[in-house]
Amino acid sequence: MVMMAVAMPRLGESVTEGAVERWLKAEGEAVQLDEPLVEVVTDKVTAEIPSPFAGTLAQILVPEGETTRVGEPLAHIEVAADVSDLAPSAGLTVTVDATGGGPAGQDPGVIPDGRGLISPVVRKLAADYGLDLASIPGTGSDGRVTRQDVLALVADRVPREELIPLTAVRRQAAAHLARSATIPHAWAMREVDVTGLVEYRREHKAEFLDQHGIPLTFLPFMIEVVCEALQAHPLMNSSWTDDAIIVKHYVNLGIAIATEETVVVPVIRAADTLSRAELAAALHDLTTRARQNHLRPEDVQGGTFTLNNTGALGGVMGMSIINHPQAGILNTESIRRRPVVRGDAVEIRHMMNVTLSFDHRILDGLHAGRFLNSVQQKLEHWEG
Amino acid sequence: MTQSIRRSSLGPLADPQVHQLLRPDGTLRESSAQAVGDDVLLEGMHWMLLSRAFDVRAIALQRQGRAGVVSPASGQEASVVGSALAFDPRVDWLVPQYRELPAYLIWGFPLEHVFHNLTGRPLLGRIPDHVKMLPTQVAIAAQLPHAVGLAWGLKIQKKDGVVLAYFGDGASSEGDFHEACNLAGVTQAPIVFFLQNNQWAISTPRQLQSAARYLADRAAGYGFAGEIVDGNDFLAVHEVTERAVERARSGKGPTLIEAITYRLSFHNTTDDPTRYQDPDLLESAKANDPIDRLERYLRLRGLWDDDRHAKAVASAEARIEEAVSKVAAAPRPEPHELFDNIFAELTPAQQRQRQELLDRATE
Amino acid sequence: MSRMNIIEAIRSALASEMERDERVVVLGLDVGALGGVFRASDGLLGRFGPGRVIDTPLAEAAIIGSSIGLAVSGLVPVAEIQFLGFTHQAFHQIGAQLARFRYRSRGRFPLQVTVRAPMGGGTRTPEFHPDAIEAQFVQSPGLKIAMPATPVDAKGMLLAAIRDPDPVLFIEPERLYRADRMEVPDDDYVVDFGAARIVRSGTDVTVIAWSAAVEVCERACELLTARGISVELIDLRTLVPLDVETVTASVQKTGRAVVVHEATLTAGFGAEVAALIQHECFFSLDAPVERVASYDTPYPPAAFELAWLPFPQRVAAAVRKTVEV
Repeated sequence: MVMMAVAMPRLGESVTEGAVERWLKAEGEAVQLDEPLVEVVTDKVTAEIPSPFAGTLAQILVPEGETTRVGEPLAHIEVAADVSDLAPSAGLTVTVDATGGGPAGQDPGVIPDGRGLISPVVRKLAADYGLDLASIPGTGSDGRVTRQDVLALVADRVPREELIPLTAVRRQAAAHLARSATIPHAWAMREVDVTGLVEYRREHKAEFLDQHGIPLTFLPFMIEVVCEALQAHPLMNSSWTDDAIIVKHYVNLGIAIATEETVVVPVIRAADTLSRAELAAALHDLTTRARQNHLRPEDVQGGTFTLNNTGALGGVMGMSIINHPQAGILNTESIRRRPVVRGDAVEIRHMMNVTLSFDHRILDGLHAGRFLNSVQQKLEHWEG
Repeated sequence: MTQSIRRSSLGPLADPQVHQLLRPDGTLRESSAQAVGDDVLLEGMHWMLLSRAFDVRAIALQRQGRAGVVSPASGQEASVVGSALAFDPRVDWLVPQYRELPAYLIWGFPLEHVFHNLTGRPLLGRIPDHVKMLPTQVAIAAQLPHAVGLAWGLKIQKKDGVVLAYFGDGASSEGDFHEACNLAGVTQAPIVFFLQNNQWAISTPRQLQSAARYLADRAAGYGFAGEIVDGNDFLAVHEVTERAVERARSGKGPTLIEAITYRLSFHNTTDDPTRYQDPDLLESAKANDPIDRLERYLRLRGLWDDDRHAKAVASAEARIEEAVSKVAAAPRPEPHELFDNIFAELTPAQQRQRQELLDRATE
Repeated sequence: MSRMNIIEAIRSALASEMERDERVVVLGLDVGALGGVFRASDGLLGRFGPGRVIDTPLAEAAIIGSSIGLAVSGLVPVAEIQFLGFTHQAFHQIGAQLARFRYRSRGRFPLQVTVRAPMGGGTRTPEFHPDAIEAQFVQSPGLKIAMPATPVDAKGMLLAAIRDPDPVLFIEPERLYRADRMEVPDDDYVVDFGAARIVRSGTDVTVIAWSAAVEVCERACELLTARGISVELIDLRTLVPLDVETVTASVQKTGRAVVVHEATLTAGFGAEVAALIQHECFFSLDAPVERVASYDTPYPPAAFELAWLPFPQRVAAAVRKTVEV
């Protein structure tokens, strides 16, 4: 016994598929040759298909109401093994092969020495660059000089374009930035006198290193200040949705860290509840793991606000892009000694710019200003 | 899908202008004589049954994906067989459109060649050299000027032979029909223009095809005789055609015969008449089946019975099966055949292309 | 937007234009009650009536010839010829009459006429049905030739054709009529003539095709990408007018060209494109221009059809030939 397939026939010139309207035989039923087997419907023709084989309808592959493409099997019929070969003509036995060919008009014939063949573009390029054709190495068929060969030779003379393929990381970053681009950004800046902070750190950093085994950078101070400011101005710690503004009463602070490939923003969870030492430790851990590419997905999720220490690379002002779906991102620029007016005198002070990008749908200049003022106040009146 | 469903006229068969010998009930009209030999009637029955059985088989093969497009002659058997049997295929020429299968067989075209053509092996389906027939024509009416030229050429060379040209109501709207008829009239070509008016050109009904009362009325415009006949009446078709053949043979020129009949099946296997045909119209047409009508007459005459009928049907089906199985066993087409029969000798460019194709095929 | 295949897009264009412009009439064989043998005019008779959707007698020359007169009388005819191969019977009315009417009448009688016809093989149709004879009409100056390959183009280009003040032969890819659906705008838009479509950008070879051959080339591009060959594929969309700039800019960039069409090789439109490339891009060419087309024989029986027509592997082989020379 042999299993033969009944295929969906082509019922019209452009018809590519058809639907089974009704099976006239059931599975397990005997079928005669040419006995009506199934009704199929196309948008041109409805037709009854007679069975091409005598046997038993073993399996219905396409049930009533379903559509299938022309040539696809509708059912299997079990037939006696010596059925004659009446399969639909498959056409010529010309195997469709990789060498292809086909009518090509005049064939140029066998080329004895490829070097002798100079194509129009090669001749032109050589003339343009003042090259002697005989001196150019040819990598084409039979040593022919190709366009690529000429261009390779003049590569160092002319600026060339380079294609950098996109990595998945870069694509993902691009997609995230595209989402950020939907946020209407506004910006504000403050010039902050951090002289007090600088001295405080200078006094305490050795002791801190001894006590905790990790260096004390400016960042933990910034984080503390930002967390306090966020608690005082919770609207800065929120997200826009089309239905409502979600204000978060916890602070998961994202810290932007630059790696070779991209910027990652690992998150210090509940930053507002951590001590300075704990903050320092968390920072150290995240930074190290970020640079080693060992961050886990949960490390970068759930942030409510982001801090970007652009000052580490020497920046004095920048407008960062908000980390969607947060409401703001704060840059701490580099600390520079600058002459500033205090009272009626000019003094040299340690100055640091902070720039804030914020979601203008949620906050306006007033709220952003108040937040920044908080940050500035706390930094400028540093007492520890 | 709501479409306006067309009525198409079956033709005014009560009109005395329309030749009829046999009523639909199988009885001879008063004052009609049979005028056709019993042997012709019986032979006709066999051909008509074979044609009808072929249609059923060929359509089934197409639905199974084993045959190309089929254009059944169902409903038109008397029109084709009755006319074809009025000729002598040894001297006369057949110029078909594509809905006249039994005529091809009557002319000697082998049934298995029909299946070769249907199943995509046209070289095996070639018309044998001794069969005086042109290939079927897909471009409507394009064969009519060919038919006239053929008849005209025979006449010029004083060779025996009359040409039978088949076409439909749709074809009579083509420019080629007009030019062919006009030329036939002027040259007094020995030709019988046999128009099968089956009431439909795909979905276009007869009354949208022409405002003429009868399509055969046009013959007067070309200077020759026009005859209108009940196409489902085997006896009348045969008698009228014999008259036309005699006219042509004796040098009296062309005749345009309009056989009023009905296309009982679809235009071809890609067509769905339920989209445009009034089902009542189809039903009444089926009641007017030409095969049934002749059968009734023969039974009345005691020349036909259940036993004979069963044998005739069985014989027809056996012939078809034999042809189908021969075709199934036939070899596949060879790549080189693609370039056969373009010129007497291929051009150099074609020879190169042929060689490339052969090189590819043997890799 | 709606998802449509090519036949649905054509139907959408006909319906919306007939709605928008009451002068538009559709005529041809079986276009009314049957809705067209491919259902291109399905539903139009019911919606617009027999005065505007006309089943004609079986006479191609009369369909085209009368369209000329209908246009002069103030209507905008959209005539359907059931298959491009049957335009042979109407050729003198198309080439000698329709194309030249404005010229012969010194501008007195421009003709806003569209002639629609499907063409192309690969579906085992009877003789004449698949004939790809578009090149024969190019030699009748005064006739535009539009050949969409996608549903979006089919609708937009048909709307452009019907509105064009000059006669347009609108040739549809029958094999692709019911192929993949794509998003097609529901509202009014046109796809201008003379603007080729860059199907995909690439750097190594320019492949130029139109109508159903574009789909064949897309499949070939997949084979070639696997071999590291970057193909720029151009769909010409219209043969007349021809977008020379897009073709030449591309070949100047890649230095290699392959033209693909279903019509037979010799004197097919690919010869014209190849001559243009040779003339405009001579100093950019690093390989001879290749053409992939059908053999110079009459359309063969169904058994040979798929080997005779250009198929993806043949196109890919031609592309590789230009790269490996």
